[in-house]
Amino acid sequence: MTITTAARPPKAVAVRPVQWAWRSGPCAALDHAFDLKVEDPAVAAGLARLVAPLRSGGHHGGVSHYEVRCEPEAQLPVTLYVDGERLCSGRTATDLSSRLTWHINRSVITRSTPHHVLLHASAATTGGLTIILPADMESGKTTTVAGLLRNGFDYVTDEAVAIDPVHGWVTPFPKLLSLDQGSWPLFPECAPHPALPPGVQWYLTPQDLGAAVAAGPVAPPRLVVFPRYVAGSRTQIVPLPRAEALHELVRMTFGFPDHAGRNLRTLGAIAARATVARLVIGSLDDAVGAVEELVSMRILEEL
Amino acid sequence: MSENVSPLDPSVVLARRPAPVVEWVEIEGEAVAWNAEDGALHRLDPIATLVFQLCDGTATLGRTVADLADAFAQPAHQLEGDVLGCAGRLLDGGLLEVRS
Repeated sequence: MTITTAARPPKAVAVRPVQWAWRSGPCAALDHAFDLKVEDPAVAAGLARLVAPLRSGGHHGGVSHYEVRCEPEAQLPVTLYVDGERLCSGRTATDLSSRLTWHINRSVITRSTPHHVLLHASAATTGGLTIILPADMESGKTTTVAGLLRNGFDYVTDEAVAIDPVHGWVTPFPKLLSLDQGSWPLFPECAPHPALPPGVQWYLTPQDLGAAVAAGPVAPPRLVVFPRYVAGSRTQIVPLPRAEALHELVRMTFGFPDHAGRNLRTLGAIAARATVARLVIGSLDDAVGAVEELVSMRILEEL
Repeated sequence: MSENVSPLDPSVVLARRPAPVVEWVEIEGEAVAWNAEDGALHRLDPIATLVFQLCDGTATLGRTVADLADAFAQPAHQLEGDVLGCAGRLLDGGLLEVRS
């Protein structure tokens, strides 16, 4: 007698069919490719803005799928999933924004360090000159780069400067600028619509500041400025020894030990060629003026 | 880098530890060196950088002292303590190793 065993049918999983109100289409942030689908139109309106600068023409390789599903009866009716795994729940898009931004940033860093030297820094470009502003959190790097954008610089990033280890060029990661509450009075023109729910950060597009995004990789950094906001201080540029600048750049590198030799050589080449300085910030306008002066001097040097 | 290191004998031969254990870059006469074993980043002053660069596994520390004395037109005995102390700190920091 022959007994044949049929394959056991998969266990039934109750999956509620979802009508997506909005789909981002392909998005890419450095080496992190993803898309976002949102069930609720009101939530979609809030989150679409977050990923708008990262929408791309297509994907190559692995893609992460973010989904925001609704359960109207739940206490926290909207839930963010990544690849089927729950990340967080909340009441509105604002509640999910910071967690979505955090996850995208973390994935960018994890996936991009094999191919880029990745610095915790903001960056902008003007007249073909790239300036990077590496700094610890709460040092004023986002505020400073926002001030530069408002004064005509093009946007590169406010989070992670991605440097090609072979050529030194910087690939933009034009995420929305996350402006902390302390800096809101400096940008009154960017205040969110009063009807929007309050959030802990303002998410600004470069366009909100009248700026454009760098269209593609930008030239190797020729200005490396370490900003530090010191309340009540006089704004000043303090020249740095290059070795000290290199030491600081290493400290600001995501996953430095994983590619130590490559990272050190790349950063050493930047520190050797760039103008390097600290920027003690007492006022934003003065800081922007000081950076513009450095840019002018550097452009003259390169003529 | 710790100041409390054992005094070194001038007959000792030291060598820079090779990559990927120690990675380093020299910039304007100062080396920045990464020790992958303990995850420490070292910024060496110009004298330490010179000693670090001269420790290539071929010369004794006494020979290195003599070379530096020649280069700086100083009596060797005046430099010896500083050079041996510096080499000791580099050894202690895991940037150099003893060659037998």
